[in-house]
Amino acid sequence: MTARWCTLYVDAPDRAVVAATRMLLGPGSDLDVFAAPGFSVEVGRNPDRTGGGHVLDRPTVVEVDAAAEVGEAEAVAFAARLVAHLRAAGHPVAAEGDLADRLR
Amino acid sequence: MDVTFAFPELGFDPAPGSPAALAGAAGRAAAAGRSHGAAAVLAAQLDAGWTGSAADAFRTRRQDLPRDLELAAAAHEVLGSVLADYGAGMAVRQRRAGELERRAAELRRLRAAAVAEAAVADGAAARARAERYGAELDAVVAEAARLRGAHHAAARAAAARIRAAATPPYEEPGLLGRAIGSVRDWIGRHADTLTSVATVLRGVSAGLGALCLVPGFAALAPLALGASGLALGLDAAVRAATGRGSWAALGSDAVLTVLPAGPVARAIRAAPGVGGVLRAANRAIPAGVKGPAFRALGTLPEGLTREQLARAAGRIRAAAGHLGDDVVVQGSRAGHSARPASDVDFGIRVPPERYAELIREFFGEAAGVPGEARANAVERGRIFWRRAGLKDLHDALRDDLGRKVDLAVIERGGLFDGEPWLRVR
Repeated sequence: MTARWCTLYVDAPDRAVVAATRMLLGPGSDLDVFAAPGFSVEVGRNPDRTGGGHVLDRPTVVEVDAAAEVGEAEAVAFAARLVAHLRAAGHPVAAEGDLADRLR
Repeated sequence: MDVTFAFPELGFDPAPGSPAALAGAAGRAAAAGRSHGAAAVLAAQLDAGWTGSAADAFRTRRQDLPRDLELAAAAHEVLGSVLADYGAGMAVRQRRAGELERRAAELRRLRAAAVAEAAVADGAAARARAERYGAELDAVVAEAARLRGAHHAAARAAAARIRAAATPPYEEPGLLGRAIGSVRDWIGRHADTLTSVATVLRGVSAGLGALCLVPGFAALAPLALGASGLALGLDAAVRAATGRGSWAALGSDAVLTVLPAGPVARAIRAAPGVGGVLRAANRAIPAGVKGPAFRALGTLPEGLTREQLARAAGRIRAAAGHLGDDVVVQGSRAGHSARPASDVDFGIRVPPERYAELIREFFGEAAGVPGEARANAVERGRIFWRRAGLKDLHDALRDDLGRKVDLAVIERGGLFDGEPWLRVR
């Protein structure tokens, strides 16, 4: 199976994650959707949160999608770069989705 | 009183009557008018400060008394005035009648002397004088006759004025009048009850009027308006029928009637500090109350128009109808506590057995999904859009609405199947 997407659960407010993502990918849309060649990244508040301590309860999610023509290795590299960037900005990140196992 | 004096020279009384008797009657009529007027004032004050059922019953029965007494007072005042005027005119006419009687007597004497002179002397000149005196006497008698006509005319005019004053200006009411009278009587008998109902309605209207300013409760405005309008109608009816009720209550009704009206409500919401208070009031209402209330009121999700919601429903039915047909909006937009950047949270609610099927479909071994993700979906009762293969639908809804969108399959009775929610049709 070819990896196409992953969801990043970030332990930081959504505005902080948007700001960090902008530094890496440039300006996004009004709805915090960022475009990079072959990829789209959408930052938003986590609808899964229940107030618990699980990573699924972190306040912000980043949805990473790769276009069909993007190879798996390239997709993993892009997601890994984004995770590293967010962590470098001081935001704890956990991944879920097709790419998650490759990002650990 | 008809007093006739002897008028042998004229042959009739041109102005019969007694001015003195008329003056006396006029004085008594004026005194009666004053008495009736004073009684009308007292009658109007009889129930001042008296409340309760007995007071209402008394009020209903005596409501015509002050008016009738005032009418009687006015009629007697007119009677006194007419009699006085007629008596004064009679005195003038009687003085003239006396002058005519004396002149007639003199002319008769002069004519008799001339006739006697003509019989004993040169008769031509004496006969001529006798004829002149006779003609002058005829003129005096004719004037006396005109005076009598004027006197009769004055009597008729006075009688007409007295009849007009004595005739009540109200008539036997027609069908509509009787119906209005019946309604007034009924209101008068039930004034206390109606006032109590108006008070309750005023309270209801005030509560609804305030509540309809709270985000999500605008649909209560017509109810608040109806309650205050009804209260205003009842207070006004009681006031019109019985004269009771305060202007303050009517003013309060009027204020409450305009409070929920669109421009007024908007102005109140826009006042400094009010928006925050209203949002806090919204948050203070439990979600378990807001959800059913908003559904009953037909409230739309915050920030969405009916057209947008219908278009979203069509998209979801087309792309995800195979998952389930119970589509809702949840969260802050359903509870009208959203911030400008809040998501629109769409949920496709499915029963537990269907949810179990979907878990197997989206998280089974064939899907190659890590066990942790499956366990989370089972535990939380929520399959988010990407796992359910709804990315295209998610993106289309986001682009249609121009807002961030979340979309998930929700297990009925699960952790995420909570209030408030609004159905998407």
